[in-house]
Amino acid sequence: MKIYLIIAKSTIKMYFRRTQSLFWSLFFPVVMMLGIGFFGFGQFTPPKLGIVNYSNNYESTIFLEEFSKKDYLEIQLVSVSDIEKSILEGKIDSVMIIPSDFTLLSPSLEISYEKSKENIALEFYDISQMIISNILSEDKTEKKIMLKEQIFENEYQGYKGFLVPGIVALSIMQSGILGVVFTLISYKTQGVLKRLQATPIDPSHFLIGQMISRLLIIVIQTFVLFFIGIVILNIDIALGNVFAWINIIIFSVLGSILFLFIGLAISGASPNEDYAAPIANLITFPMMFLSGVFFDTDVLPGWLSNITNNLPLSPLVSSLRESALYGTSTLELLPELMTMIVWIIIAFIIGIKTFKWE
Amino acid sequence: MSKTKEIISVKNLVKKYDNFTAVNGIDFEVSKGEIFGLLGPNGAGKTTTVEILEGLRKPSSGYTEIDGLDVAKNTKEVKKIIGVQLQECSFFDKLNLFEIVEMFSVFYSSKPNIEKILDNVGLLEKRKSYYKTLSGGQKQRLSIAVALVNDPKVLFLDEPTTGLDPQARRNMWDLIAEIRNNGKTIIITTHYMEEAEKLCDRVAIIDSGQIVKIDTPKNLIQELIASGFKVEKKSQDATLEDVFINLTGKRLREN
Repeated sequence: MKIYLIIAKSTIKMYFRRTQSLFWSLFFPVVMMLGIGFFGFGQFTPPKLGIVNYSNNYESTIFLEEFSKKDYLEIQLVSVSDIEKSILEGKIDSVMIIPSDFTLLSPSLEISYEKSKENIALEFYDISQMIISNILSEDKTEKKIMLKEQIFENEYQGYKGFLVPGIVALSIMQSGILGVVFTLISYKTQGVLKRLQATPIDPSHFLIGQMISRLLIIVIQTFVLFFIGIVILNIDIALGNVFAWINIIIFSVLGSILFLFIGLAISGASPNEDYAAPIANLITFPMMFLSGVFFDTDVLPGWLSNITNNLPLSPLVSSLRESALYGTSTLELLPELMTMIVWIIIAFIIGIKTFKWE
Repeated sequence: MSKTKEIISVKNLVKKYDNFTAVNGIDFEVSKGEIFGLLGPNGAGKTTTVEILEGLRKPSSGYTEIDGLDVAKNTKEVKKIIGVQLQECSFFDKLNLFEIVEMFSVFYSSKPNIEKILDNVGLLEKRKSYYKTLSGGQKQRLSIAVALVNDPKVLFLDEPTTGLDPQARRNMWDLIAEIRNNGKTIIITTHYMEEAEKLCDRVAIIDSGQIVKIDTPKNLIQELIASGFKVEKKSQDATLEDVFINLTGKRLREN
C-alpha cells in the first residue's frame, strides 16, 4: 500500500512539474474547445437542409429541382412531425417549409432552425432567393421572399454542446496512450525500470501504481475540461441531471483504463523504442477524425462508419456525449460499455503478453 | 591476509546468449569487508557477472550465493541486503533528490535518515534539485546514495567513475573507501587500473568471460616483475594526471 502511495505521489508531482504534459492534456484541448466552439468552424460537413413541400405545384417543383442541383448541400424531405426533433438533435441544420400557396412571383417560405445555426438558415435563404431570381431571370431585389422564421432553442446546445464531450473523450485517449507510451519509453531507455528491478519490490507494483495515478490524473482532467466547457462555453450538462455526472465518471474511468492499457500494449508490442511513438500516433490519429469527435460518424459512408463506430474511441465519445447532452441512462449505454470492455480485455492481453522490462 | 568469512561465493558461473557466451565458468569468493575488483576490457563479462549476482539476470548454469542466500532461489531476499549502482542508469527526472531517495527507501521498506544519506555523498545542498540538473559525478553519487538506503551488507558498483573528470574520480574514490570503512563489502567493476590499484583489496582479471587471475594488486604486480617483465624505465616520477591535478586542484567542479 505504501508503495502505491509513494508512486502515486511521485507520479502526480512529476505530471504537474512537466509543462509538456500539462500542455497536451489541458491547455491544448481547452484551446481546441474554445477555438472550434466559439468560431464554429466545426461545420466541416455539408449543411443539411430538410424540406417539407405542401404545395406540389409546378413552380415549387422547379424551385426544388434547382435546389437539388446545389451539390454542396445535403437535402432531404422530412415530415412535419419530425422537424423539431431533427433540428434539436442536430441531424438537420434547418428545415424549409414550402407553403401550399407557393408561387415564384410572390414567394413565401418558412424556415426553421436552431438558434445557433442562424448563419446556415440565412445561407439557405440567400440560396432560395438566388434560385428564384435565376428562374425568373430578374433582379433579385424585386421578388423578395416573404420569410417566416421558426427558431428552436436547444438543450442540445448546438455544436458547442456536441464538441465539448468529443474533445473530453479525445483528451482521455491522448493522455492515456501518449502518457503511458512516452513515460514507459523514457523509463526504459534511461534504465529507470532496470534500477527498479534491482529493488525487492515486484516491478509490476510500479506499473500498477503508475496506471492508478494516471487514471486519477485523467479523471481530474475530464472534470476540469467539462468545467471549462460549462463556464466559458456555457454548455449545460444534461440540464443538471445527476445521472449524467455518474455516467461521466463511469465512462471516463473505463476510457482511461482502456487507453492506458492500449498505451501499455503499444509500448510492449513495438519492436523497439523508436517505433513506439509513431505507432501511438498511427493509432490515435485516425480515431481523432473518424470516431465522431468533431462530427457525427453518420456523414461517413456506411461501410466506413460500421468500422469506425467500433474503434476504441467511438463508444467513449458517444457515451460521454449522450450522457452530457441528454443524461442518457447507463443502461441505455450498455452497448458502448460492452464495446469498451471488449477493447480493454484485448489491450490488456496484448500488454501483459508483450511487455518487457528491458 | 587473514582468512575471514566469505560473504559472496560464485561457482562455475555460465551465462550463454543465443550464439554468444558472455560468462564462461567463473569462480570466486569475496570476504566480508573487502573491496573486490572485477577488471577487464569492455565486453569481458564483468557487468553480466555483477547483474547475475544482483538478481537481474538468470545464469545459464552455476551457483551464486550472497550472505548464505542462494541468489537464484532467494532473489528477493538477496535484493533486500544488497545495494546496487548500475551502469548507465538514471532516475526520475522531475523528482528532486530527497524525493528520489525517499521513494527508494519505501521500495526497500526502510526508514533511513535521508538527509544524512545525502550528506554522506555530499549532496545535502542539492536535496531540492531535480535529478536532471546534476553533473555526471553528482549523478553517480546519487546513485550510490540510493544504493545505501537499505544499509546493505554488500554494495555493487558498476563502473562508478566512467566518464568522470579526474577531480570527480578522486572524490568518488574517497567516498568508496569511506563506505568500506563503515563495514560494507564492495564489488566494483572498472577498466581503470589506477582505480583498482588504489581501491581494491583483491582483483579478478576477466577476459572473454573467464577469470584469468585473482590476487591482490600488489601480488599481481610482484608476480609480473618476478617473471622478468620490465617497464621501459621512466625518467619522470609523475604522470600527466598528476600534472593536471596539480594545476587544476582537487576541488570538485560541478556547480
